[in-house]
Amino acid sequence: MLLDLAHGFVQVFQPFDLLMLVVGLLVGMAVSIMPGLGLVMGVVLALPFTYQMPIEPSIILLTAIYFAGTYAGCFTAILYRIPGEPMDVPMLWDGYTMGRRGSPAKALGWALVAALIGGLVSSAVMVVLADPMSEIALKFDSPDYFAAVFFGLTTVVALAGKSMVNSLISLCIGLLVATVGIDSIYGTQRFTFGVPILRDGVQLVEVLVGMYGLGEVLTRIGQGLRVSHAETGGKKVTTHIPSLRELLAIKTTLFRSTVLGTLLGIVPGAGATITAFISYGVEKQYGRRRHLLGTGLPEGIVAPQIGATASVAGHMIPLLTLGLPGSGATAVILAAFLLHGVQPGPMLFEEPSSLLMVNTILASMFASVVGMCLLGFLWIRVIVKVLTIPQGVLSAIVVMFCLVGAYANRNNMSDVWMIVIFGVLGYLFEKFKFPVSPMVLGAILGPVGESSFMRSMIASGNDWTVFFKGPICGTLMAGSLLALSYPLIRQFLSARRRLQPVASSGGSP
Amino acid sequence: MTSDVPVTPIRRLKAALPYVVVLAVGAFLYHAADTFQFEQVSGRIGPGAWPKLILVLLLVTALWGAVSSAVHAGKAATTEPGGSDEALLHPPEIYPHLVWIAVGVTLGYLLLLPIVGFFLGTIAFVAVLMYLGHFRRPLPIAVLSVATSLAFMFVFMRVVYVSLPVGTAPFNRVSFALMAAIGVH
Repeated sequence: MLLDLAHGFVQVFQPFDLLMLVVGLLVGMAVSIMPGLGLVMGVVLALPFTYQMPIEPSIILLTAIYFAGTYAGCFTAILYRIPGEPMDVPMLWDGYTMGRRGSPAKALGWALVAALIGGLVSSAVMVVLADPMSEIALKFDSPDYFAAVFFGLTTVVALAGKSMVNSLISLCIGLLVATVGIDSIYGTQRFTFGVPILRDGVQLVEVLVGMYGLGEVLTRIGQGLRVSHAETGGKKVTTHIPSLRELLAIKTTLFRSTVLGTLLGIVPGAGATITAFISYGVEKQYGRRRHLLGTGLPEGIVAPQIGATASVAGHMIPLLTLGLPGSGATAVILAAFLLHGVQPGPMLFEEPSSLLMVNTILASMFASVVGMCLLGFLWIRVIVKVLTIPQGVLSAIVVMFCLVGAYANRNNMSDVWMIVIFGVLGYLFEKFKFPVSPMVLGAILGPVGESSFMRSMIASGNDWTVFFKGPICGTLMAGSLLALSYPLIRQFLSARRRLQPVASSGGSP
Repeated sequence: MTSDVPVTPIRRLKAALPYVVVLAVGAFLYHAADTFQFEQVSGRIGPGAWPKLILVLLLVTALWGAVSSAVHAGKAATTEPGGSDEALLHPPEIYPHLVWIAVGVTLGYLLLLPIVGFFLGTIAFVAVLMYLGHFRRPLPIAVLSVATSLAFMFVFMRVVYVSLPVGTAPFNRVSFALMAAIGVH
């Protein structure tokens, strides 16, 4: 395994692959710093540039953006109280507070070490797990695949937004979008309504770029596209790495958050944001100095940062071994694979030609983590300058990337029209608080879900209990039911917590 | 902490409207799925089975959403700790009209693109978008919109080999001249 990984490293350090890695890291850092862009949009905007590239540098580019996007947002959160992404919000509580108390360089140092540890450890764990997971995936038959897709989608629904009803509606719309076009089993036209461009089905790029790219820009235009530039000047931007003694003092936090981030990364739907919040929440619940959290403690910086970065490797492995994306960014990476005619899954680990590609991608994960920390340490001053780009200019450029990027896929104006349709849909989703990620994942996983469902039903003579009978599919379906009941359990527990103080205060004189 | 506001039937309807729209579209699509043309094979489910399964789930969920949002229409959102952080990430919408103007401008751009070509169309489009994005300095807008259009043309036509629209006469003369200048044949 180590020898294979070494071959991967040799490949990563080929000039073009290395260039894409560095470009990816810089793009990832820039987009995660800018409020309103975010790492998913960064990955989406980079997708058109991969059309003409070989597959390895394409995936390296997108993965590097993904990794760097989980780290660089801490710069502006700590220095200027500007969270580039929702995942950076926990960084405001302790990171910004530590900075305001006179140690911004130290806060940045803690974030850097956390990203480095979280990224490297989770990548190592996932490399070890990749082979066994692909072995298990090889045993999957149709009901197991359907159950895996079902599990992925239900966890995304359970974790995606504040309203489960809205998440479910979003998912259903995504699954329906995937059914448009000619059905693969019967050759029947479905939901085409005589429109020729719908006959080929809806392209993934249209959904991704429209919903995440144009939709987000339209939302930002409605919000006024404002960033507080007044707060971004006059700060000393350096990074002060904590000493080994300081690190050992919070070793429990380091360990706990790394394990949590890695494990949560595997769960579909538990993206970097949820992982960062949960890691912070667990620290607040079980940390040695939990009562001081929020006052500028290193634990409050380390826990969410480790969680966010560690989740990336966790997401990459189900994508590579099962072909199942668990987040918006991995959905785009899956689209990049498919655009290159490669279907991720266990077979990638079986064939020698694709094995080198897999090892190159795995090696690039380690290189991305080290690279982003180096760039963050050395070029932080330059990177935070992107905040000075006027939002109006940036939005216009992003819209151009969305439209031209969609056109570039097939040199077809119909694709651009579809982008606008999905852009408006993305805006309406944001406006009416429907989460976007279930819709996108539904559109991507819909065809796999449908084909495995149809095959299972045909093979079993329309016996729907087939999805509950096998050990793998039975376990996954049970997991799905648990995931679906999770919001109800959470609601019940928080209602009980709210009632407890009332009851106790009511009992006292 | 929650606070209640007076509930009028209009407010209830407004709260339920997105779900009602989903219900209407879902019902229409269910009808469409019921009429798919295919050769029936005995004992096999047809091509409409999967979409109908999803549509049933969609209709039930949307109905639930419509009823519950209409019932709870008066309840203000719960104020949670960290509300100011939420406001930093998701500021309220203050210019909804600008969004629809931006959509209209984009549609106009797409309609005009095959006529005026990528370069000229993009200059105008980018300039309007910057203006809508509250960047309102005429000279920088002019310079940046020309630079953006040129940069996209160069990257996508010269580097990524995409055939961007050149437009019709007389506008295509500008496109051809620029293509010759950047070495695209």
